[in-house]
Amino acid sequence: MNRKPSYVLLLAAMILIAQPICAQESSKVAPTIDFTYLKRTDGSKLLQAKVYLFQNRKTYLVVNQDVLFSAGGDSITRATTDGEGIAYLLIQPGAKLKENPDGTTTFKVNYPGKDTLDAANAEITVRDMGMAMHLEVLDSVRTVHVKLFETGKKGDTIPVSGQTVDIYVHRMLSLQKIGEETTGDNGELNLEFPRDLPGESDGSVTVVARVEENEKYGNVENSQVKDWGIPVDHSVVITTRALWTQIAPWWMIITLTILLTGVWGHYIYVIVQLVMIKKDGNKPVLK
Amino acid sequence: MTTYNSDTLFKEFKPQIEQTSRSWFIWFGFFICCFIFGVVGFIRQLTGGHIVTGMRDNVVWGVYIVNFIFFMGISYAGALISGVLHLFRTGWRKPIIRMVELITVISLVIGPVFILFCVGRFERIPYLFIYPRIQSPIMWDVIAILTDLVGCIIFVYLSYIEDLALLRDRSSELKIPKWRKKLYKWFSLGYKSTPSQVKRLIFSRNIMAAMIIAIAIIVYSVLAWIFGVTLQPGWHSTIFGPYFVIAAVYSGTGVLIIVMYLFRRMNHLENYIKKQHFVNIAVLLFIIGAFYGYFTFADYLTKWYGSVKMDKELIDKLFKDYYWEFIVANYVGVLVPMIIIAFPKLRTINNITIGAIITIFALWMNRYLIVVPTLETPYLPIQDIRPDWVKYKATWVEWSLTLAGVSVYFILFMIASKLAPIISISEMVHQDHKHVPDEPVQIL
Amino acid sequence: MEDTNKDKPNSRRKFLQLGLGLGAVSVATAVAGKALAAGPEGGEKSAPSASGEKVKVLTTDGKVVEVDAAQLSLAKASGKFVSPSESHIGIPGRKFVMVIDLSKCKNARKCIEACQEGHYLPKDHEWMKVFLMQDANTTAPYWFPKPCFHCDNPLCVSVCPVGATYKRSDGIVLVDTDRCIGCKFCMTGCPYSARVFNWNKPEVEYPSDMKYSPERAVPQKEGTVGKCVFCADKLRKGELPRCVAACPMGVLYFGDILEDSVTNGTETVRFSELIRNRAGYRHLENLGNMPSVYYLPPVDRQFPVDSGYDDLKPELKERFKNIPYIKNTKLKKP
Repeated sequence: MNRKPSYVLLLAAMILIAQPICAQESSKVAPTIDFTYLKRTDGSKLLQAKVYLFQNRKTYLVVNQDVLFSAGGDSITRATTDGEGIAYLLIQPGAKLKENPDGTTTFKVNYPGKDTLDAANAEITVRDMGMAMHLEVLDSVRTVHVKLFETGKKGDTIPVSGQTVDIYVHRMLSLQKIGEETTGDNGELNLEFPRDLPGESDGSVTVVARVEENEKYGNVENSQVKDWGIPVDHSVVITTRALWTQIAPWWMIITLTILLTGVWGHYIYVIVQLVMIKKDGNKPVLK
Repeated sequence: MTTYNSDTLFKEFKPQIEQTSRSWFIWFGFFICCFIFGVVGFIRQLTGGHIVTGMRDNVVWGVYIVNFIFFMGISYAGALISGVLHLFRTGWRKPIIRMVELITVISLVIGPVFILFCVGRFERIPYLFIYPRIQSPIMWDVIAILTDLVGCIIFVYLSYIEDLALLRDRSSELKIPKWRKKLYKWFSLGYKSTPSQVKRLIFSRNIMAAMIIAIAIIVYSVLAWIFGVTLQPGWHSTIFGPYFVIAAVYSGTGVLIIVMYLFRRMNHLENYIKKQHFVNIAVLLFIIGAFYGYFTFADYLTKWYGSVKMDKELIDKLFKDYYWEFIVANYVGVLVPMIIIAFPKLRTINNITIGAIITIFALWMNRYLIVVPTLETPYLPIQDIRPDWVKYKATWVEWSLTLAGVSVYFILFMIASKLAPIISISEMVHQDHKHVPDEPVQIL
Repeated sequence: MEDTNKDKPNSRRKFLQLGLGLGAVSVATAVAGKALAAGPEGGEKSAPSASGEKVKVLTTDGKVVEVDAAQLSLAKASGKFVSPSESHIGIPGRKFVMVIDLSKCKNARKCIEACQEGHYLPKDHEWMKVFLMQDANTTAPYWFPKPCFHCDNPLCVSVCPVGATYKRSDGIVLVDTDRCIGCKFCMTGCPYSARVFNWNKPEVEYPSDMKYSPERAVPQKEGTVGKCVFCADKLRKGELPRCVAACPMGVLYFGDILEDSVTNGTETVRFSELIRNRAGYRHLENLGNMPSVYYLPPVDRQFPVDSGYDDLKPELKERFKNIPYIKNTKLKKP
């Protein structure tokens, strides 16, 4: 990867200042790792580790560094932090992971440290939970139906009750909350979907149901696209001729053309007269 | 009216274009020094950036734009006066018509240069022609000024042709360098006063005189609309077009009186430019001054009564921070010249010239009061601790370039008066309407 | 862009949360190793392009393979370079709008700092300004953050003689400082004092490899005009403008009016509801420029107006010495 000059400057400055400190082994700084777990719609699990340093009320990202992911004690792989200091591991649905005796799985991430950066660790223990979402019209009410369940040893489903699920629609810059509801004894909940939300030009909206930062289950989400929005014309309206566009309105061009041809026409006529005067001057004068 | 013949006039004016006096050189040297001072200021601005001027984020336009409006105003006034005097065959115009025409062209050359000083990247001025957007009043101005410049040059040139032909014909009698004789020969276009040439020339001059009047009005209105189209308090006014035209003619007439006064003394033209010429022009100044006063009053009165928040703030500022400037620009500048002209006893050449100087100074101040206080009164309050961000104060750089502009004005006049007589010989000789053989009186 | 975001709202939201209060570009820490990039801004530079980004995937049979992030819809929308000519085209299908809740602003000035850091502005250039407004002597003062309003009928654009400033389909008004001749007509045309002129060469260090794009407007050039760009570069990546992300009070809401949704980073609300319930308005509506920035009146304030004044540095306090309220309460000698 292309290292940038400014980065080199930064590095040079660091080395200069860091020299005496490096000599003393004790002056290492420990980065922080934000470790999140997300179970996605397709059942895959996304592990995300953001490595950064918080110093003097400012944040520094730890980039292009290898971190080590492990699950249930098995080390899985190394991944490299990207430009935002984040390393990802995606676990495909159905991948066998070692479970703890209580049925949970512990994911760990380890940053071994480098130079003056100390090692850092983070771990997360979650229980696998499934989420099913149905978007259906019940008695002419648009209903978001969500079911939370665990999968038993024999492949049976056990409803998960008493968990709060947030329902959102997806927007460009954020998720817009529609409502939240807690699952009942059967692990299910229903939420009425509003009728006045704008959607894409075909009326489609992305509905997202999420269990968020749950102590037991981590983050679990399910999203679906449905034509429950009000179709909004997103096509670009290009204003071509206005005072503020690049091209002028017609009346302005017409007015200007009339004015300019009027004036310059007379100029040209006069210049022609001058040429004629010159021509006349070349003729012999009749006495 | 006395009739002149070209032979006597030629002999009379011959020394003026042949010889150059010591005082001429002294003044010329003085103006060149002023010009060099301006060059120093310009170099300072180029190397130091626009921070060396007094302009800041609120007052983004300062003395440069004031000078631009001022010189353009003088120019359009020249065009208007010369066009009108020519078309109406005003008899007393003859000795002064060339001065009026020179005022037009010279101011028109100097005015736009101040725009170059004002823009942040003057090396990108060609972009105006590469990427034009005609919705911008600046683009209207670019087109209008170029049109006006070409028109005025043609108009002035037409008025020079006969004199140049005379100088060419009698160049053997002139003790001047060869290149000047060649210049006369080349620019006189072989004009020999044949009937067809005379006819063509008169017709062309009439056309251009009419064109010049129309363009002068359009161009100065366009200049006013640079301010009028914005929403700034004090600028966003429908009266601005006509107001600028009147103010321009007012200042231009004042400049004409001063130029007349200077050439009358320098070139000893007492026999040609008489008191009556001053009085006639002064009466013109009186009428225009009355209009100017009326327009100013109408503009401020409605703003004062309307008491829109921003208008009120602006008027408060004018009467508080700019009290004396406002009095000078809009009271002294109108009333004093008018009083001088109103009483026949006061109408001496010196008094009229003093009145004209007051007019010009007041009109420059008037443009300053249009540009600066408005920009110091933005819709959102100026909450800044840097004093120069709050109140505009022109720096030496801006003054040096202003001085240079005025010097170049004089320099160009001095050069022009050496190339051909400052009084148009052909104009003096012609009997209006009678030199077109076998033709009825025809104005257009 | 739409697609890449759709399936990873979680990560997106995390980024937004992490982004709060950050934004640092300095060589402050002596202890840092070579693995550090300074702040989220610095990170962008070394971000791999979306297509080349690989993500490790643990497959069903326990193998680890590398897959293109784009195929897993994990790729971040790329911070692709947008040239001046490309910057004329807005982000497709968007029309941006900002809502400023005056009841929450306490003049913390974080928006200004984030803006200056993100766009490498000199300290005295404020694209976002916070005024202390007192409409009349008898009315209550309030803090008034003011970015560029990105008007739908922008007079600044109408009067530009060379097309150096332009309005795009997504509502953003940009300045191309490669084109700008510095006539300053736009500055007199704007009734909201949104524009700033570079009177001298901006004395700011910026990454020398940064290519100029009007969307981020770095670097500013001497003799040309600069102004708030709604962080068009951030929006291209589906991220909030820097000021919005930096505001600790959640004063600034930003979003797409076509989606009827605005967010301040922590809370996402419907734009129409917000405007209806809180009597939203636009500043100087009577001028007819149709701003894209709306204000919510300062009712039921969360902070007394004094709190924004008392914590200021003395030189910043100076700015407000002419406000009647400050004169009467703060500057009066007992």
